[in-house]
Amino acid sequence: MDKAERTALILAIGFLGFFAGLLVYAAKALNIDVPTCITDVKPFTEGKVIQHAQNRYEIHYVAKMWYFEPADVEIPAGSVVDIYLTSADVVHGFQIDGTNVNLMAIPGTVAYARYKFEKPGVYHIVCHEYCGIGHQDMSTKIIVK
Amino acid sequence: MKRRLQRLNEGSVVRHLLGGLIALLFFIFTAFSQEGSTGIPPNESKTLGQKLPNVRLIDTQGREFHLYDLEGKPVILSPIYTNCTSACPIITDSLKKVIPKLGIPGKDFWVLSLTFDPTDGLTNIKDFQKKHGIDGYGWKVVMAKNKKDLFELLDAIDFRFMSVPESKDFVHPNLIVFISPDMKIKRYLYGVVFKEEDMEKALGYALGKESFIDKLYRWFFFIGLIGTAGSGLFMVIKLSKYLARKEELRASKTQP
Repeated sequence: MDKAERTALILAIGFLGFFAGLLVYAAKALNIDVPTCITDVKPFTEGKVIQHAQNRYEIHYVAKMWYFEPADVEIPAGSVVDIYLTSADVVHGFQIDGTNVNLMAIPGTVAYARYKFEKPGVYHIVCHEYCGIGHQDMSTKIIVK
Repeated sequence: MKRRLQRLNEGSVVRHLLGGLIALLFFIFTAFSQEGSTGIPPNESKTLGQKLPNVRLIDTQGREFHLYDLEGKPVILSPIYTNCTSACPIITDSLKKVIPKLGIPGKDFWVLSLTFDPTDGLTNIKDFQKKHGIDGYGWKVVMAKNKKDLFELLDAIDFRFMSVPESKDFVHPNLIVFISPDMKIKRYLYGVVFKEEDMEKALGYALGKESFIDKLYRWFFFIGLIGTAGSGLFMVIKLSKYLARKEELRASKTQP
């Protein structure tokens, strides 16, 4: 094998190992959650905000062409929110700006993520999966007070 | 040179690659396998070994007690909700069958059926206890004193549920939790019907009896990771050597 080729190979393996190590670090040390998808239940058909306790919410989002249901949601700062998301028609995206909540709304399944909204402000939610002619207007927001 | 090339035929490369693939599959199955249960399963890597918070609970007599009052004996915690018509009654009935074989609740261990429904009240847990013929001493049907305590406990065992608004039902994982006498989370068992041997093992583990497999278990992820990295490296090196030799062979053929 040529020397340059060998160097390139070793470098490539080294980088691969380094990035794989970072993945393990993110999962084990930083405790970063990956979104879960529930596939064995019948998805809900209505958007809803359910308050279980003070600072404890469950939001059922239904993504449709081309809006989210429920529309704007107001919650107090410090709330822990369980976000459930499904789609009524095609595949939509769901990204809460400024957070690492990034879900995919797939018809027939329920995607799930939990997020604690510590800072007050307006969190914009956008659909980031091209879903048709009204895609660019598909957004909503969570207002944290 | 030629003889060595013949020895390293394509069959052996395929064999090496297959070996690596099997190791990779093993890693994937051990690292990402989830036991069959609906809803969102708890992230065991975050909860196992953690101490539970000293929350206040209320039993069916309306008596308030702290979770740490049960210290000294292992606890079998079964999260249920009283309105349930599908999984929770089956879980409770299964426990009723198996628990007498393991020992006497209250003497050897405690059993807690905890309602996770934030809207459940005293009458709900009373009805549940009556319906299932639970003694209420060694095996208690309990609710948290308030919602703060409830979610503190549920977060500690990483129990998540989804409401089904039309029917007042919940989508939740079916599980029981084994807690050591010093209130640390030791093991989860999944499903709606529990086997005696599984429960016996889990209870023994909660009491501190660790088998060799149990000791090995916490290293499974890293063993798998090292195995994958190692076999991946091995595959790349073997393949590159093979390709290099093939190249040499071709070069020697064109230049006699």
